[in-house]
Amino acid sequence: MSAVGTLLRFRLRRDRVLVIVWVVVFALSALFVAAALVQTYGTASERFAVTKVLSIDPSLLALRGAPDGTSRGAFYIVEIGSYLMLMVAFMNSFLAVRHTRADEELGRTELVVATRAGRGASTVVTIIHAIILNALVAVFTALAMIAVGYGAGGSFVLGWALATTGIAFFGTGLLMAQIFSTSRAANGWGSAIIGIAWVLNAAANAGATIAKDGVHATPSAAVWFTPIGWGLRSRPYTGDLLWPGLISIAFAAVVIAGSFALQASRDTAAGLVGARRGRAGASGALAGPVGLVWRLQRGSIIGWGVGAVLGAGLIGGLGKTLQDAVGSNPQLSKAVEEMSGGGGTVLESFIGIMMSLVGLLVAGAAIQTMIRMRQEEVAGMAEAVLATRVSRLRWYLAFVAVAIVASAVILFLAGLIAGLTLANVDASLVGQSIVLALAQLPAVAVYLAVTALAFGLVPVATTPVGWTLFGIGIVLGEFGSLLGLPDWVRQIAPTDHTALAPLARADWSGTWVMSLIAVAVVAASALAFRRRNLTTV
Amino acid sequence: MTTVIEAIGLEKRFGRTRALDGLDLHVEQGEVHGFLGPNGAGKSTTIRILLGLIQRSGGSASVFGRDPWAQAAALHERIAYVPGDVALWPNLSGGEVIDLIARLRGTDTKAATYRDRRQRLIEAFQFDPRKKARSYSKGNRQKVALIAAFATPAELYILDEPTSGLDPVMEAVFTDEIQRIAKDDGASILLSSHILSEVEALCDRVTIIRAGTAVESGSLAELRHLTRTEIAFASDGIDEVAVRAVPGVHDVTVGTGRVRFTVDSSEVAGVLPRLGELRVQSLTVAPPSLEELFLRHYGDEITASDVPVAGPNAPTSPDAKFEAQSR
Repeated sequence: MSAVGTLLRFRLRRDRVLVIVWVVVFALSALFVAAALVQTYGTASERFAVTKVLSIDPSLLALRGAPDGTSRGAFYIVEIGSYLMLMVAFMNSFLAVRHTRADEELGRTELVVATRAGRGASTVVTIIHAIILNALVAVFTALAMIAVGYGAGGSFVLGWALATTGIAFFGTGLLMAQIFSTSRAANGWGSAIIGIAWVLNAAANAGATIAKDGVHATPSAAVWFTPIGWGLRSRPYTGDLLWPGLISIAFAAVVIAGSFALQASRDTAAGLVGARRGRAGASGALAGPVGLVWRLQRGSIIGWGVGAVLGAGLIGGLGKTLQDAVGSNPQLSKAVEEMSGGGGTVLESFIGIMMSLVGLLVAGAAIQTMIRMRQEEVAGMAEAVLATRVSRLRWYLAFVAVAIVASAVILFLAGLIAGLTLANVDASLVGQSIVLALAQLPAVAVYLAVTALAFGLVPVATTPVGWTLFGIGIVLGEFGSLLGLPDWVRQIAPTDHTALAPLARADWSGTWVMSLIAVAVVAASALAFRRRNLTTV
Repeated sequence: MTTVIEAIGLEKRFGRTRALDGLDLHVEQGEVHGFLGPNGAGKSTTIRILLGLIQRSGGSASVFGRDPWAQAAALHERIAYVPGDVALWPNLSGGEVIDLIARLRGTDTKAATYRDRRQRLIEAFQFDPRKKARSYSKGNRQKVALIAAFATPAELYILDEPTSGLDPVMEAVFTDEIQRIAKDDGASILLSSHILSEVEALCDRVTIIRAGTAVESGSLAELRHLTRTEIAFASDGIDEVAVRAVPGVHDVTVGTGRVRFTVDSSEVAGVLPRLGELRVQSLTVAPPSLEELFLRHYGDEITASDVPVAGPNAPTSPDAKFEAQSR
């Protein structure tokens, strides 16, 4: 066991910054949102009005959560509970893969296994590591909540729910790391599992049974299918249950045991899903820089695309219910219109809101493509291409072109799918939803351009700039109004400037300005890239 | 003869590190030019400047008479390159990478000439093109780069330590291939290496660099004085004066029970009979290694410039540290 102790000390030293960053991110975001909600929705009557609207709109139920009264704590959980669960899930899944499969893929595990530490030692250390990290996140999140004045009991139940849900997804990440032989594939499948769990939970909330008072709801039975549901059914601040967290722990125990069984039966560096043999020669598609970039990025672009198109499908599914529920109640119809920015019919506004979410997912695909450009440079593959007759400009533009064209195609498909699923309500919505989806393209291009600018000017900053932008985009776009952020702050987000429904009265000026900015920034970055050295640090 | 590569007083600084400090390099058309130096001497930095991947900080560089930075892509049509540290796309097969590089170099990969060359090289290097690149060992990654370089003819081949990771059999295949392109195609080759035997076997002319400066340059015959064989034997009952009298012997030292001296490698055969007459015992004859060459000829300069001597491959040398920084 002394090998485990040594490895653990080394591990905590290696990850000390990351651990602190995660704990601070959780504590600060809990603190910030909790404080903002107290300020924006300070009185019970304000919270009552919002919750009432929420519970008649299945799309809002899906995107937020099933209400559990109008207390401050209950309101907090409804608004961001499922997103906290999502964050903790990703943190854990990535952690598991980073310290098992990624190390193994890079050959570091071989160094460790060749000592007296056994083949399972790294995994054992990773489990302890995860438990420590989740415990820290739980305690500091609870302390942050208590600091803003939320009840101590409920705050610690929230921490418990986060930690147990986190451990459950740590388990699925660990399992994926055993099954797949590359960290990319393991992270991809780990993320897919989290995505499915989130959608299942959203569906359970959308199908909730609403109590007579309109501010309490019981999610459908599907809530019990996922660790996100188990975490939320701890009902922090309202029910304060500890036992749903135990389901997460039991689930984690089973999955982790499965991981150990797989690890015991396989070779080091091998996966359960083996590496397939490739082609003996390149196909016609792999001809130039564009073909290469597409080949490199198609997996992740398709992943983001499937997410975006599924999200768009949700629009259709929920739109009909929304129309029925609101249509029969003119007062509520007005409230929903106001909440969603005003103008147009309820459905049009709803499509507009949902498309900004789809746009963010597409921006994720575009940002990741720009980041890939930097990764190619660091890993030395850019050098191989640029030593042929491919010019720097051509290589750079290949990445930009693939990102933009793929974004446009995904947005078009998302618009089409949303429109078709709503066609039985109103056939004219097909064209409208395609236009509303494509209207996101300039905003996507701005995300792409700023990431590209980092690549041209400060290449080391490419990845942090890209993902920070994405995070800011989510916070401003999805929670901006909820948090009561001032307009000028919300206007930083490109999605705030896209044209909105109704199309007849839409303001397209933002579209043109953003397009011009994107083109100018991409061009400036190309010039900067042509003038700088290739760097690998 | 036309000049293919010409660098005069080439400088490159990375922050406060001087990677190249006034380097001169001349490669004539049709010659195989050895580019020798310990790790971190600046070989890869020079090559990257010649390929326009990084910009020089001072001096001048031209390839085929043109500026490698300003006209990189146009020049690359005439160049094949094998990087020192071959990085491949992990999810592409070796065969796909070879075809991709060929197409990026403007080759029609359906043409029979290309298919034949490619097939011949794959067989010669005993390479499996269908495996994904992530599963290739260092040697196999090297083979991908070599096959990709040789499968499309070029006027200039720039090879950065091309045999690292190859086994001796594959090194021989590589040697054959270089001799073939040099003779049949009349191509120019810049071959960076720290393996003296490889350079001796292949190169017409050699440039030796250390700490970013060319310290020797010339044909192998001109540099022959650098390659001395070290001879040592037991000093018991040996008359030192008689040893010094043997023609061709240099640097005689006596100590720790051994007599040591060096002799020009071409004259070893003439010296041995004289040693037989002296009845020397426990004789050792050590052919020169590049490492010894450097230590012998530049050791004093190294100490003078206050650099710890740890041999060319030691990771602690300041040049190696620089290389780590620049990656």
